[in-house]
Amino acid sequence: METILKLTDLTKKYGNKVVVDNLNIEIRKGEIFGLLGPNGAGKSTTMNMICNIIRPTLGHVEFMEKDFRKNSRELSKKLGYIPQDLAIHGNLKAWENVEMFTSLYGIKGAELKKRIDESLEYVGLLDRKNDYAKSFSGGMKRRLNIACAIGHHPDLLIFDEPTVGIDPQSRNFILERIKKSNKNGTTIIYTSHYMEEVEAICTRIAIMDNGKIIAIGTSEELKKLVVDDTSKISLEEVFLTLTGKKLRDV
Amino acid sequence: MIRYLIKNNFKLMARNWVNVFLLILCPLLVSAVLISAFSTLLAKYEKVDSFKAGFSIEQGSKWETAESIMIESADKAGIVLVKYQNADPEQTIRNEDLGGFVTISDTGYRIYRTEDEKVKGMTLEYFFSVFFEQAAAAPAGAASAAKIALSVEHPEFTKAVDSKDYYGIAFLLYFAWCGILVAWTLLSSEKKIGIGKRFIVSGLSETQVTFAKFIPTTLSVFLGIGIACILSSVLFGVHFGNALVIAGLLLAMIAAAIALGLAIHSLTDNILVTIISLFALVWVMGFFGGSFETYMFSSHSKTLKMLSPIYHCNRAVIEYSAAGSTKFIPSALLYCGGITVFCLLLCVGVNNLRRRGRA
Amino acid sequence: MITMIRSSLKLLLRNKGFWFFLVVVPALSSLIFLNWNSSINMGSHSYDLQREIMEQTSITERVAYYNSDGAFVIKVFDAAGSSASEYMLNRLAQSGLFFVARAKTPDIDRASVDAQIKCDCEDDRMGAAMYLTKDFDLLISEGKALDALTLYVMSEDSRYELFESEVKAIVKEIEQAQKQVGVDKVGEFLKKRDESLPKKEIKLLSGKGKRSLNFEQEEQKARVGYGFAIMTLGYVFGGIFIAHTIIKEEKDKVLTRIRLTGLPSIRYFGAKFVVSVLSALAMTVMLGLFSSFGSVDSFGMNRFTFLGLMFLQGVIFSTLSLILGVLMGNIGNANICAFTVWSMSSLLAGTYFPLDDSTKIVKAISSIMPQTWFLEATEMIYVGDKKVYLMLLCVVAAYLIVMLSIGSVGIKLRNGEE
Repeated sequence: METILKLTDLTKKYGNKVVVDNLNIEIRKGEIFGLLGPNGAGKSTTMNMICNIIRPTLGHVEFMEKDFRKNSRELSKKLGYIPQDLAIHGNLKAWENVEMFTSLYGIKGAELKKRIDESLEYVGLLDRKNDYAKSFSGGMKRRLNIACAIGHHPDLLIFDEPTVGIDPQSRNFILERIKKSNKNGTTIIYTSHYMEEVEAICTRIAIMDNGKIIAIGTSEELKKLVVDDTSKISLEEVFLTLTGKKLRDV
Repeated sequence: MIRYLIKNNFKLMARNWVNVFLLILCPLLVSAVLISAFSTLLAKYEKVDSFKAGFSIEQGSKWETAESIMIESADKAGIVLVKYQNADPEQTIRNEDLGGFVTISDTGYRIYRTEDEKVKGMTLEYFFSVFFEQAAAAPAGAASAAKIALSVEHPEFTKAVDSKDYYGIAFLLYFAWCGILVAWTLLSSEKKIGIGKRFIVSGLSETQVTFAKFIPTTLSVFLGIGIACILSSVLFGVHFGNALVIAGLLLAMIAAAIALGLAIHSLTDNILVTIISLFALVWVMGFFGGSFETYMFSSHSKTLKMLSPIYHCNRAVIEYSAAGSTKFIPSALLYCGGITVFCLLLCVGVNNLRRRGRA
Repeated sequence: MITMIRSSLKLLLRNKGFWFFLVVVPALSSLIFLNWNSSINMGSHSYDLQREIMEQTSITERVAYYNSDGAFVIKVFDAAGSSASEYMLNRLAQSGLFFVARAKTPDIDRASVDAQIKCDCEDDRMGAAMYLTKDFDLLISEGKALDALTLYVMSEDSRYELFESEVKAIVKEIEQAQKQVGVDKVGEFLKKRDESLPKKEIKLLSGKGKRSLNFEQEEQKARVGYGFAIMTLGYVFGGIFIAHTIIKEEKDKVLTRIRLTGLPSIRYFGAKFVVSVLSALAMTVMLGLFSSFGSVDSFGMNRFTFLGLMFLQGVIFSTLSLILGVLMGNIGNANICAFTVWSMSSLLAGTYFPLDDSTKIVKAISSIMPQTWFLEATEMIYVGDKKVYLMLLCVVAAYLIVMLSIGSVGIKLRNGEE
């Protein structure tokens, strides 16, 4: 399978503290890649470096075989990022939010209108397009958050804990949509603390701790690292075994 | 690419009721107070109509014989003199609602004036000064004095502006300089809820991000102040000159104000510090520029005044509105243009450096 | 409740913004009102107090501010310096209608005067200007008044005609006197002649319903007004910072946690009110500290009385901003509200400049502002009116009752909506 994203010796230091330590990952086109790790493992920092929000101390990010930082203008249009924060304006209507963020990728006019409706329909908010975002429930805001990032039809979508604090129905809806996007050819990078989600949708999973990848593989492969009979263990137990049960007070 | 961003940012600002209050109601309210408070200071002299004043002449005084002449002369000068012999002057003034009171004796005369009726008091005092002087001067003096020719020049002076026009305009301009306040939500949400991250991920340059804030904020403030101008004209009768010229001046000034606010924000990266710093700076500029004490009456050095962009803007707009012409339009436009360009460049530069530090 | 007060105080003291207002605002207030320059106000008093020529140090000195009392200001470029010219200027100054500002410039010529007049037309305000040539006396004696002096019309004031006719009358008298006693002795002659005129005395009465304050007291009152205006900023933001803590507690569900303990709302808000009073007290103490560097003469009353006035005002404003902040429910809007309360109330109360000549509506709105009553109290203290203390207590109680009532209704309504 073709590689869409390659992280080579990716490192981030803040002073003497190494937050991301020499990461080498290849993400294949069309897969759903899960990134797990305890608090302070370096997941969000890694996501930020991939999205060009922060600069790596060492190493580089290659996206579609091109250096991301040198070709960021061109490559940004193929990348979509759903942040953990609800980066939407409460005082704008749903369609206005999607219009605002989708237009940043150069889409305009009739095509933009079409994409707005598509995105809202995709996340199940088309009938609420004229309502203000501040009137939405938590789950609806999360869905709108997604809609704002998919209008430009990116090749790679990065989800940073997209289901935090929402009800099971909304969560299930989002996961279904992620699977649907993937079926349409979009590569997904997914970070979460919810093991069952990651297990349910990810084709490959990396477990990160203290800035390093400590294990990478399919769910089955990761379970095999710990026990022979993979039916007797959950991904959560694998995670705790590999990272330890000690509290991470960052 | 940023057309929709500008449009939606504008909607965000227009939908905040606080902005309506700040840009329209506040300047109108403040102007109303100041117009009222400074009405007498800046009032053009209005000749007072005929008014009543009291007098008493000491019994046995030589001026008793001149009483009728005095009353007649006063009448010609618009003063109705009424005799209140043996009355207490202070009480009589209050009770009879007089413009003043004069007590005359052989040794002199005492004029009682009140703070409430300054003009009437001055008129009364002047009348009696001249009356007694003319009584002492040669009888033919008054007639021949009129024949004296004096050299009189009529230089082109800046016409007096009344408080209505002055404060009606000055305070709209002052609030416009605080206009960055309307972008509070926009600036804070960029940092707090990660909207800024979306801009970076989408590949938007700092120049585009800056203009996406600068343009809608300038337009919002311009619209708000424009409405306030119309309302002040309708409600208070404030005179504005040619609409296009005034609009042009306002736009240039507001652009400078917003650029300045954005520049300060880019340096401090904290909305609260930005607003406090900007308010302090605008207060100082307004203090020297004639936003509080009129530039005509202030005793600040000319250098300090000339350094204040608000001084140039005040003079340009106020004098153009009141007198139809002013020498300050070019300097106001140049100053505001310079501030706009410099501050926008600074804003983009600092934000780029900041982004490079992160990304 | 003690614990609530203690924890609220900790939250407040950990806010850097609060420390700024606690230290900087009282310092700034002290600096301004201890060093406030009264010269700017001179214009409004000088005319009523003197009938003398105001001497200017140079021809560039501005005369605009002497306009404040409605006097017709005349700027004089005096190259003559003779007794006759002196007599003329004194006559004009003592007439009651004109204010004479004279720059003695023996060597000045017509071209320089014209150049200065051109500047004054733009940068200064006056009724008229006058240039007395070096050979003023001689030219008058030769009947050449046209060359002896020049008048400049500098405004549209209709009193210019009176000025011109008065100047003509005086020139005529000088001419006639010169024929009698010669050119050099005219001034003394006319002065002696005027001694036989009845002596004028002016008695200024205060307006209706006004107290008679002397010039020094007016100055002190203006200083105290500035002190009120600036300190109000600190008190208002002190209350807003406490409101911030309530807003945050509400947002972070800490308030829910507190309510679940069974603590009644009244005790919760009571604790916040106590903290706002304590913050006002702290700022007043800081003001006392900074103002101790200045003399009591600056505010014209006992230092503790002055601080007492400030404290009571502070209680009102910090409570007002606390309630407004809670009702806003949003930190950004609460800050804007606080700033608006400060600027509008100070302006409408007449702390920056008197509102004596304002319209009835403005005066009515002004009477709602707390600072108005404190300025009134200041006047009462100056004239020794003992009822001031009772008045102040009643005023403070009234404001607190109204604010707390409106605040509790507002909060109930807001909670009802939710």
